[in-house]
Amino acid sequence: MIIHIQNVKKRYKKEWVLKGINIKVEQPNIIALVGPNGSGKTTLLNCMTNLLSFHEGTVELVGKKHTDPSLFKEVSFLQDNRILYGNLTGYDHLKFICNVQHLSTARITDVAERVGMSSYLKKRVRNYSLGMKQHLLLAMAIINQPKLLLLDEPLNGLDPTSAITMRNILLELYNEGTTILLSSHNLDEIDRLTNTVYFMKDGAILKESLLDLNMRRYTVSVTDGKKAKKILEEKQIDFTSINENQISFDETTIDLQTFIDYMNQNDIQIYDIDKQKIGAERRYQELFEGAK
Amino acid sequence: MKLLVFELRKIIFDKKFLYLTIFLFAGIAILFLRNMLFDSYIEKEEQQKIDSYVLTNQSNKRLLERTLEVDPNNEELQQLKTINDQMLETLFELRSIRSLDDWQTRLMLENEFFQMAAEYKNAGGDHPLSFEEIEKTIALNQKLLQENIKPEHPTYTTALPNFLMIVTNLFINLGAISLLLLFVGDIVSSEFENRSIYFLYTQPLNKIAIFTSKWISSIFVYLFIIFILYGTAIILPLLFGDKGTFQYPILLEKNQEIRFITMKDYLIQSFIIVSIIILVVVNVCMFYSLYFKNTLGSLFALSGTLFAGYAVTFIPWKFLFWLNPFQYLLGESRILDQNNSLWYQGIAAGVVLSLLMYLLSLQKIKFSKLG
Repeated sequence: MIIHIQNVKKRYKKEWVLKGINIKVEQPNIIALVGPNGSGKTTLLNCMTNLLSFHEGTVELVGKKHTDPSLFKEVSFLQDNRILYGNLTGYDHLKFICNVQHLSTARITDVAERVGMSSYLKKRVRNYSLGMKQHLLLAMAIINQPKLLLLDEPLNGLDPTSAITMRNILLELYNEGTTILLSSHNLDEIDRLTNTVYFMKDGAILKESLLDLNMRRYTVSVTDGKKAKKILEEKQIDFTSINENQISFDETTIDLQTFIDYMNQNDIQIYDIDKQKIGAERRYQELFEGAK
Repeated sequence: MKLLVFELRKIIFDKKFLYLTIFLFAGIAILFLRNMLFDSYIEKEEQQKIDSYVLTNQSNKRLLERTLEVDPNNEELQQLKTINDQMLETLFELRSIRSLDDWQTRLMLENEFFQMAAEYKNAGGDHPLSFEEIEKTIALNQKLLQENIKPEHPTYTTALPNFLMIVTNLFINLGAISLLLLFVGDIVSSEFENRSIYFLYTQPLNKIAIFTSKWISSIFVYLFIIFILYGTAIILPLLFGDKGTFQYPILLEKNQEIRFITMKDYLIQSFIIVSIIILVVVNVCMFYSLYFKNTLGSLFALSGTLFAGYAVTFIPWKFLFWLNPFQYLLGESRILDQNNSLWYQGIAAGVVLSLLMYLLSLQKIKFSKLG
């Protein structure tokens, strides 16, 4: 089991910030944790890596208990750039990881090249830009070729080029067999990375997380909207009325061919069909902003 | 070992480390330069001191003469006048040899004068010199004469051992603690404040090893401070000052009696007690850093502990000196004043307290989480 989180609960004083989190990952995958600020994403990542304690539940990563420091030979955690030492160089950081993890220092050059930081590898971190720091953090996280990579807001502050580089590297790592669990606010990027998204709200993973984000949503324009809506209501089919002659529905509620058949049987003409992937952003809006 | 090297790199490549090292080096160099420049002032100062004694004795002479005019048969006043005249004579003689650099004669005359001053006071006369000052000066002069060692000015000296003593006194009277706290006072707390401890905690490292490497780094920094401080304080007098002697007598009080130790012994004892208090400070500071997880809080708590500990030394119960390592906060007085306890009495307590704080810190870091 790569990730096995069972009923993890944590509270700050009397307030529960994690309310029984369960996550099981058996095969390499990219999983995104999405939720508004304060939903418990970072707390969960910190609990998983033993940076925070929790009150109930168990966490196992790559088959080891989360309190076992040796798991960090196979698990990397990309945190925010405050963990970096400004007076040391990027090389110093990477060399330290190589030393404590008994890795060859030859990897430093390779990983620096891979993330595109060779030109400033030996500069002091205090002179790095935000993007450069993010590159270093990524290099630090992947230098040990981890089985599991945890990333807390990895795309924060990245320019589009850096974000693309980061995304490509993450996809490469996934293809090489690394499981990636990331928290992010960048829903566009998440859509490009994965379909497995856990939506978190008030310290819990929402049930709707299990819905397939690859699912399509149709928006159909018809000649007689009133009649079409009445038919769908009679058949107890869930839909959304966009405007007078426009209806939208998910492919799980009714498949497109059946819908067309219903319309034809009632002499209603369809003059436009728009098909869209629901995606993380749309799902997020539905879950957290009440949009439908 | 790898962790220790990383810790040391973090400290050494910090700009603060560079600035403090320069400050340390420059501070000692300026102190030595001052002593070199004030070399000529020493004679002037001695002259002024004798002149002030002359003025006192002349004024006493006039007073005694006037009183004797009224009461010519007063034997006590006659005796005082005789002693005062002899003191004046000695002072004139002393003044005449000031520039000759004949230190043996000077010390003998000085002692003669101080003995007469004591006699004068015993006979009922009034003199600004205290009995304690008289007794100590005579004893030191005698010791110097006996050992055939040229006296050095207590402040403006360029002789190697005596300059080392000046530097040592600055170091053992809070100097070492202040320097160490400036260098590594935030070695643990800043990691929590900057959140860089998260990086170390997410490596396959034992938390005890993380703490121990920081502890050893602090001790290395202390040794580095010693190296720079004493290195500078030795090289400068060797190049531009006098060789002096490490047999130079240092006067101290032990069980209400005057005793002497050599300069060598004084420097060794100073090094021991300052090392003990540094050991205590490092361990207490690191424990508080783990507890408060911020620099300001831990330094406040440390200061409070040090001052409270030092205040305990004022409790008139001699046994407490065996239990209180904070007596070494002001190390100079701890060696020079051994009336209530011996200089080494707090060493064992210092070692035990350090060990205790170290073990408590290990327990604390074992379960340390984010703030």
